[in-house]
Amino acid sequence: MPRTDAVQRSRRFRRETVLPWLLPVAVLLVWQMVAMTGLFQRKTFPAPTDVIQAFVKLVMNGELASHLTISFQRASIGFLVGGGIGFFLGIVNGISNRAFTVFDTSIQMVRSIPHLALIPLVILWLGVGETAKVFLVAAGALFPIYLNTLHGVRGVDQGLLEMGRVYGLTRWQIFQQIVLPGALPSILVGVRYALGIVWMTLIVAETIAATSGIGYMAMSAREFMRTDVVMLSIVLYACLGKLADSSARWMERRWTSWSPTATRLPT
Amino acid sequence: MVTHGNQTPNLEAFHSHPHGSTYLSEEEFVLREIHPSVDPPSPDGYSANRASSHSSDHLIEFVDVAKSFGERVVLDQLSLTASRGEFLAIVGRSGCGKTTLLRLLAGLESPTSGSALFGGIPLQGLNSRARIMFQDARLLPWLDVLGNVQLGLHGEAKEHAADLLADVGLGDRARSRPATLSGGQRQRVSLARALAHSPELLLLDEPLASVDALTRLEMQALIERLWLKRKMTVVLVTHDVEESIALADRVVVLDGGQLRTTIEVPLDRPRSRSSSSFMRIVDAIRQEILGPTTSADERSSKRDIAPHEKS
Repeated sequence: MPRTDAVQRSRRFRRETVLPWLLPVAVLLVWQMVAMTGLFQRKTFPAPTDVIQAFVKLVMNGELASHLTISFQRASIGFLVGGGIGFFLGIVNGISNRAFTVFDTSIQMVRSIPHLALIPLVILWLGVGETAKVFLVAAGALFPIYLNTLHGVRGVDQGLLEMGRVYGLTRWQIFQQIVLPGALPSILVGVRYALGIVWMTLIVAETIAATSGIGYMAMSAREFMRTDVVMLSIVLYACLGKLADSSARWMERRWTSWSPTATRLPT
Repeated sequence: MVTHGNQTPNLEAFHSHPHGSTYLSEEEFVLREIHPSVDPPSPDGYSANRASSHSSDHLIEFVDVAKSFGERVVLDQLSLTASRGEFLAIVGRSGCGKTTLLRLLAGLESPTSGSALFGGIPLQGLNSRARIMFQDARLLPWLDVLGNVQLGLHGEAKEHAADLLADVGLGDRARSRPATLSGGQRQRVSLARALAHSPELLLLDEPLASVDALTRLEMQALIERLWLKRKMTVVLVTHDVEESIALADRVVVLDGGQLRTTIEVPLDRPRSRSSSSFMRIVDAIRQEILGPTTSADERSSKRDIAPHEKS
């Protein structure tokens, strides 16, 4: 391999892999040092090493896995239900002016209610079971996906649609080969927003009314003054959020590599 | 079918009206020439003539076609024919209605009044036997070049798509994305896509307006070559007078939605743009386009220099 190539590669590695993690690592280091000075009680201000110890312990006794699994299930089911409904409504209202006229005003009205404000009502109606949490998550995921799908479908190049008609495509083919891929970059933006909201909703829902999940783990740890576990929960949420965002980006790269808006963000 | 190559490209040739007998009866020719003037012949006489002379030679027959969008009249009492296999160019200033005429032919619009026949049948809905090559290539950016050419094709035609790419000189770019192509290459893909459907009528909507001058010359030669090879009817809408003369058998000049005149181009192919006969036709058409809206007198005096004038 030519030397310049190797140099370029290591530069790229530095830029793309090292730089994004510089700040988080620095924060951890400062945190560890402050905790070790003994300025604060270790019990209320645990060091990163304490959090790691808690992590290892919870992994070993299997508690973490079960909490993670249940949280992940709630998030994905809620996301699929809410995202699916939002996607469907966005497509229908994007394609049909009549459907838009009938439904959009109502949807916008419901959208303006913060979905977390529904928690008391949801607990009254659905109790504290799984349905309640899935419902809240779905309500959170629905609107970003609805709005972006609608926007994407409406924004499809009219010239391409006309071309499709002239070139003898059926309505289904036009939808499948022109409308859907044309709207996809915008839909995926909606997916990214929705994933962020999904985790936020789940944290709140699990903190308020749950007997399992990461949010519950944090709340029960608070009762026993296990600040390390509380912090671990927070870190876990950060990691899960990052994971969700990365998977959304992966979808963008894979499916919308042709789009100038998708490639504009550095990856 | 128009014959090529048997006319001498000198000025005298214009006056002998070399194409008339091949696909237009004397009567039709006269009618068509009279029609754009201030006093059109009675519609009855015209359609009677049409009915009697109806033949499969005419792929396109427009009689008194008008199109308005609300109050705005875009095409006004336009009558026009094109034979099978003919290369027709439509020139005129912006807003003269030439794109609307093309959209009528594609079935993307329907006439407000008048009779628009295609292959002897009134145009209704999308014209499945016509394909448009648009000014902007309108390629699907998420498909590769071959995928774009194969759009809407089935079976055998789908397999031949790659041959068409080779025909337009892009055989090696089948797997490229449109975004990686130059403007001229995109228009080549768009041409291959249109031809892949083997349309009876190829509609070119200023396809070369946004490519650079050298590429334009290349593309014009390509279009001519493929037309000679495939013998479909072509209607080219363009701003570029030289382009229309380089390519078309006949040039139709539109002005304010009306047919101003039709000019035969009796030159050998491939046509040399530097020849004096070519330049004369360029001048004649330019004057037709640029001339102020004229009275009948002025119009007839103008037409003295028009090459189609019978001597």
